Amino acid sequence: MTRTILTRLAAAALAAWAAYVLAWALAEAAPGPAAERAARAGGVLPPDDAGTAPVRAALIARAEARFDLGGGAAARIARAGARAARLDLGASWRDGEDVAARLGPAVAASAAIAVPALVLALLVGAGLGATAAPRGRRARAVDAVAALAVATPPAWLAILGADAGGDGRLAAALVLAAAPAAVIAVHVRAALADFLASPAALAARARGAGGGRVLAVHGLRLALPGLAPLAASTAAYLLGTVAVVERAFALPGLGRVALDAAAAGDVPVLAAVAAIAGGAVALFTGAADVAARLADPRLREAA
Amino acid sequence: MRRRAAVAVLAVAAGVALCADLVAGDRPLVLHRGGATDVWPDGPRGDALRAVLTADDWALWPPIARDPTAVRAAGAVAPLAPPSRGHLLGTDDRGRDVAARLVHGARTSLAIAAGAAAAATALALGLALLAVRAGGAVDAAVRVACDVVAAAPPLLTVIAVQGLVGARGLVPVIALLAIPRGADTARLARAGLRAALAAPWTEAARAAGAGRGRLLVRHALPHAAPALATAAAVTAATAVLAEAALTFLGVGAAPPTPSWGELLAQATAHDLGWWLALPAGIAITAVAWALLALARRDA
Repeated sequence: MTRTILTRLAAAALAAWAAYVLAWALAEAAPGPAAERAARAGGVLPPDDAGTAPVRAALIARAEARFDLGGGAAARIARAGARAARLDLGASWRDGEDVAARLGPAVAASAAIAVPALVLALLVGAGLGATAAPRGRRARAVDAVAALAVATPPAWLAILGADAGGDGRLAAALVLAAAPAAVIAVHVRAALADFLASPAALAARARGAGGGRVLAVHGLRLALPGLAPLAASTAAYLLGTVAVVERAFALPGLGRVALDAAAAGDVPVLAAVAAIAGGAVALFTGAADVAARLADPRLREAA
Repeated sequence: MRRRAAVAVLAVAAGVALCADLVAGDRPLVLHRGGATDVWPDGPRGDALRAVLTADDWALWPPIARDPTAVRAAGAVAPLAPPSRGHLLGTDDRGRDVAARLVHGARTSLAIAAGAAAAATALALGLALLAVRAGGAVDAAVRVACDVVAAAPPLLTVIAVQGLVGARGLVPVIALLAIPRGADTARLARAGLRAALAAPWTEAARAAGAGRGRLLVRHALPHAAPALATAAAVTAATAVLAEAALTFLGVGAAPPTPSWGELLAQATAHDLGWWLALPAGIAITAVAWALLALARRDA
């Protein structure tokens, strides 16, 4: 198991590095030389006309030296990759601030919303799914509510939540958890309904287990391995959608940093956001894999 | 029952999107002026036309006789006005008619949904056919690439790529939404094609002399079609929701393009003008629900 965990951690680090390098490669497709774009992102580049040519040239040269943007595209991408391997994310093109110093608090702020949302989604989803497990009216009601929750735009829910007032972070977590909780509820309900119709449930009942124990002890344990990849995809969904609730509730976080960087064309910050996203998704997937192995001995034996 | 309701919702939304100019606009459908009757006439529109109509003239206007981009009604600017007889769903922050923008926003949302679904399905089919036809290392490479691309968080990816490449507008949004969904769909299509190629009826066709291309296109592809249709409906629903989120964040449809997400963004900016948020939210939810309901039925 230790080897599996180390392998997954290495894969997450590699995914983060690859996403960072890919982002720099994509940035080379943008129009204009990199140094000129860096100077423009800083907001100091005057309009391109004859009178401003010397000033523009000086500012572009300064940006090129400051952000290490000399040479061809391949050289810039290679240097970016080498810096990332040394955990040096560089400085923002917009204001020269250290990218790692900017992203640290932003990631913490987003995690303060996304982690409670993930926990809420898992608890509420599993609870709802378990209560509606026997097929019937309650199951149909849960399915219908889940279908509506998945189809409701998070931005709309966030607007309604923001108007209700109260603690912004809690309301943001609730809004963010709605759709994943619905998906998890449907998954758990279906898995438990299948379990209840299986010989394993019959055997547990024959040994004298009550309905609640059959579901909670025997059924949920069987549903857990299937829940692990769903939790990983939920975490990836939350990572992207957190930007929406941050905007609606006027909260700081990764989404706001990414939007500001995208508006300014701030490549070092966007590349770092891509690295965080790539690494986080790989980490979630690896964690789901480890959790599934822990919950299901058959997976451990197969490995 | 659910399928019928879903089909009805989608039919209404598609009808409104296709006929948006006939449902909401300041150009008369029929104009009788100076003894002559014109259908869908050129020339003056809206308040300018109303001002020159005499007692003998008449015009048949669209049900919502407002242009989605016009900021003046009857010569006056009325920003953020609540619903009234003149503006059934009120006005937005520039005085534009919300009902007209809602109708024309359907065109934006559904165009993105249809474009993303078509592009994702085409990409998925191409990748799946390539992987199954080539096999070996190509198959493995396609599978890994699809796993990686499909796992990317869509909203964050669109924001980052738009900022990195400097591409704005609806076409990049459609492409960026279609690529991860296409990768996800390609996994389904690949599995479907491989299962069909191993089925007895395909073996029978092979024994009868059918080539690999014919086996794939005539025998395996129809087997994968239901999964592809389901995935296309999910992609369209995802695209409707993503368009709303991206425009809400300011990186989707560019102003002054009417969009449902833009109405939600305005509702946030102006302390919840309910007439901005409510109709747009209901429209997005209804269309996304209908698409997901169809997908569930197809599955």
